[in-house]
Amino acid sequence: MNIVNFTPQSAFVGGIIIGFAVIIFFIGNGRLAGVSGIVNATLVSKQNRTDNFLFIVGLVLGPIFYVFFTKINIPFLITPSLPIIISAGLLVGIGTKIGSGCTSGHGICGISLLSLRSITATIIFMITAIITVKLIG
Amino acid sequence: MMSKIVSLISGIIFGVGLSVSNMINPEKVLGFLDLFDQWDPSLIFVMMGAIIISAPIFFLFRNKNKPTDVLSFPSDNKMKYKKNLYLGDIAISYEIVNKRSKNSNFSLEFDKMWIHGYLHLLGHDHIKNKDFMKMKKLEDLILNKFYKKN
Repeated sequence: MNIVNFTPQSAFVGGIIIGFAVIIFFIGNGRLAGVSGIVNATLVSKQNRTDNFLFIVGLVLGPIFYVFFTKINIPFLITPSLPIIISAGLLVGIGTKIGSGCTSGHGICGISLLSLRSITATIIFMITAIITVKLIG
Repeated sequence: MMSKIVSLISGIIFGVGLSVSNMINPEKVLGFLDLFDQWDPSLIFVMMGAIIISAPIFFLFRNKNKPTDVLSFPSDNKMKYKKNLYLGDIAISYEIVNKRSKNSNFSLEFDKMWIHGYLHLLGHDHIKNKDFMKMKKLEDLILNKFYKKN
């Protein structure tokens, strides 16, 4: 194992900013900012639909504002294969629905709440992803 | 209106956080998962940063910003009537039970509420996490007595 591209400072600062976003959403709306759950609810549930939709709009606007105001270019590298992107997206959608959460819902909100279910989910999806990268990556 | 502004603002801030940490780049996330070869531990620092900020707030507000669903009023003198013992009163919010029963059914949600209240009358509480787990277990046990799978 070699450690490469490690950016602890920017990662930590970014994490703190995400933490504030989670708190604002939680105190303001009384709900947890789990991104997969919010996307799911926007598509299938009428409850809080506008709120959920606006959160996703904000999620897209955030990086646009960031790049616009700081003029920092964020690299974006992703596989060019459309079938892989579509099937990966489907798997993430199905998996987060069955597992009731993703990196934000389980990994940040759930671990902050010391939820055993979330800690288990985070460990398992990380291990699965690491194995997947090892096998296909 | 307020919740819409809150949602939009927190979405934007969340997005800025993802940008600052470079986590909007799929390659950056993949770097974290490439544990055995070219590992980039940055994602751990993102999660730590977020958890350090949100955990104390979650702890402070645990169960406190929800509307009350059930209240118990234990009686000071436990009166006996024939073979029954009067423990106190339980007040249950019809609106909350009704709201919850949209994705479930009314009598199940109602039973959950009175069982919770009943355990309070018996002296249980859930101030500590440990007691909360104990109470939850008892609730499930009683509930299962009513909803035994046939």
